[in-house]
Amino acid sequence: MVDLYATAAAATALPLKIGTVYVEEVKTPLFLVAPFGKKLKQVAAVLGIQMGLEWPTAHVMKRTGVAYALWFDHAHIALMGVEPSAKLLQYAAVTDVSDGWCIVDISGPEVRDVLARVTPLDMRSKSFKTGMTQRSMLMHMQASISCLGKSHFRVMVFRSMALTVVHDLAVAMESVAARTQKV
Amino acid sequence: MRIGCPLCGVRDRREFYYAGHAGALDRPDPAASAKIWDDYLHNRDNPAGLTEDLWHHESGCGAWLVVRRNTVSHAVLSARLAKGDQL
Repeated sequence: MVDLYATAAAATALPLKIGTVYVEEVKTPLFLVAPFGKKLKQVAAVLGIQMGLEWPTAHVMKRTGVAYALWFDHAHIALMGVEPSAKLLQYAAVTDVSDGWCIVDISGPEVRDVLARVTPLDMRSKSFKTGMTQRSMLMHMQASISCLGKSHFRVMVFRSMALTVVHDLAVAMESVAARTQKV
Repeated sequence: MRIGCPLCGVRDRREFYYAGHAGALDRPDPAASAKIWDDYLHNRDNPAGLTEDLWHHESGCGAWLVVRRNTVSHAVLSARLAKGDQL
């Protein structure tokens, strides 16, 4: 048998530091949870009792220790950093997408300026607060962007676009860094 | 052009995909006459004024929206989820 081993999506390109902003890849379990029809309350109850996580409404990211529950789209939430309770399977379709997404953390004092160059979202701290998560575009990619701290974001795109997201972030980081260079 | 997604808030047109008149939601009975099906599939009004379209928020939450807009003033008046209730 061939011995298969997992590789990180953007391993060849990260970590990366340009100017004050740092990007690194995050390897973490990622599961999508889609409640079956009219089973939302049961799913939320299992989430609370079994995993100690609150149900995240639109744009919300809940956290308990290393486990996150984040709103993902109109029909899904995502569980990140934790294996889902088997009891969820009674009431929801649960899909392991850990190797389907490229997850990167981007941080640094000018992180909001960098992201503002690649997404139409309002990146100001009064609009995009810690604990918020939004779906939007990152250049041409469909991305999930979450605020983990005032100068710390988590960006997720499809794994097939791992090197593209690194490229697009790097161009934005270079541009932001160039503005602070003394001429 | 900006559309107020009920889930995501106001987003610009690049995030959405246009998918025709919202009449597509009123699917006739499978046993309905050929004339009714022909009308459903092919015949569209071309109103000067209020109309409702289907838009897919493909780069956002992925929801299908019914967007009410004015073809004369280009104003986008409202948007609601095509499936009604929300998660």
